[in-house]
Amino acid sequence: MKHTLSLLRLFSYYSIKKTFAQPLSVLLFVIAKIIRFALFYFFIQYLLSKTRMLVGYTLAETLLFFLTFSLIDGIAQLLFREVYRFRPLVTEGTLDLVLTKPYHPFLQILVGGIDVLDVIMVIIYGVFASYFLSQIGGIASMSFVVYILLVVNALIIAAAAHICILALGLISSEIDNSLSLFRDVTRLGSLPIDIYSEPVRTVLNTVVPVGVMMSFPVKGYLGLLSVQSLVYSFLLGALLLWVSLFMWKSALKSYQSWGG
Amino acid sequence: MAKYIRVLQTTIREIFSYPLSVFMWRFRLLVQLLIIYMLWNGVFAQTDTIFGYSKHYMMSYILCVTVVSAITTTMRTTDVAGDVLKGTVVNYLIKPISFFKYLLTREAADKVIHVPLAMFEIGLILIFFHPVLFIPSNSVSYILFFLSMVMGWCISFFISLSLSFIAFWTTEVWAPRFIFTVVVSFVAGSLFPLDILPKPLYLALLATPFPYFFYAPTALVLGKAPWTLLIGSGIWLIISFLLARFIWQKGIKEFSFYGI
Repeated sequence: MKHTLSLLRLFSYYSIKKTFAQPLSVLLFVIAKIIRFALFYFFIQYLLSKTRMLVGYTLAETLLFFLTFSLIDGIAQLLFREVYRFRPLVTEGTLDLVLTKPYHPFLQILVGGIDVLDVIMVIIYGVFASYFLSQIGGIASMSFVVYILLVVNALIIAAAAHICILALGLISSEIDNSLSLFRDVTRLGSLPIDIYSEPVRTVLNTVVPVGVMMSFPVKGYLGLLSVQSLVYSFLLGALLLWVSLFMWKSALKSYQSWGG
Repeated sequence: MAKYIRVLQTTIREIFSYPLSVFMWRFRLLVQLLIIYMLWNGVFAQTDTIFGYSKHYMMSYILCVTVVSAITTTMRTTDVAGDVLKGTVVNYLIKPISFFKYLLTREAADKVIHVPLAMFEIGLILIFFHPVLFIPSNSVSYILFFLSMVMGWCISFFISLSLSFIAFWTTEVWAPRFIFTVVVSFVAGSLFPLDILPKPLYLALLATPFPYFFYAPTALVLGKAPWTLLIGSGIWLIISFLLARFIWQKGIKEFSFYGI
């Protein structure tokens, strides 16, 4: 475990150094991300200042949905950024050098390239989300524990999705489009899933579990989820993780080194 | 003229040689449309009118602005920055064609593909959600719409091109474009009609080129804005053209590259 952590620290250090090799880009990208967040935040706030409610949720609750989405999406981006750089490893054949190393390949290809730009954004999202959590019901309640558990569950689902994308990349080198698809679909959860009419809503809670990932944490916090829904979401998270690991192992068996 | 028609045909073939990329791009835009459509749908569940817009006006605006953005958003000019950085821009300079006309033709090819696809997506929205729409009966509105849209396309083209020309002086080209994209996505009117903003902010935005990309054509066809918006479009068309030409002429004088 200690060895794994020291390797993770080393990979993260290299990743941060690489990012800061272009300090102007870092500054501009962070500014752009802050502008994007601020503009959408104020758009929702301005919109709901007139109606006060969105499909039964107050302004603070709607903003909490948006912030929770941003937080989960931001942490997933922060942790799994290296997946975006997986394709060249397969197409150039350098993945062999990772697979033959005496540590689990996920340490390098899944979590080995943290995105320091997202660290700043995650802190901003976290601060805002904490403010609204404390406004709505406080952070010293059982509801808050449920919220945290459901956010962790969302990250497990995000990890499972990224592992599936890695497995797909291993057998087809198709990575970029799969990642875009995943990110686009999860964006549907930036607002309460209840804004979608049926059958879209059911699809987003079952077939494509965006609702479980992005909306359930806030719904759990607001006490809108039954015990069955909570059990369903945790079982789904565990099942998706198991399926993704199974897919990765199967893909590894059929993987043949290639490249030039 | 024949050589530009050949460029048009070749670009269409080039785009269709990556069908998955076309599909993913359209899917991304469809998700964005779905989120905004459902957000406004949720808002109108609480009230009949908001910011002076009834539901059928707002839904008409959102669907119409989707078509407008498919037309006025420039796609091919982003490649120019990469061509300058790699030095491959010299390939265009030695050909007996106008560089600007060549790029405009490639943009036109992009529209030939993406505009029908955008209309198909709106057809899907109409089939699945049956929105009641406002259809303008005044033929003058359509003329204003057409003029404004063509000018919006040209303004967007020249500004995007100017951004790519930054590559003549620096390699940090992607961060400024990211900021530009973020700003355009909010203040060009693709999420909401800009006249719902407080009056001073709305008037301040009209002094920038962004409202003339998406908002002006859509507001003109829906009869929600005066024809005088065309004056703003005309002014920004001249400014953006002169700016692009000036940066191009300055950049090309400073540009040097040696082959491999």
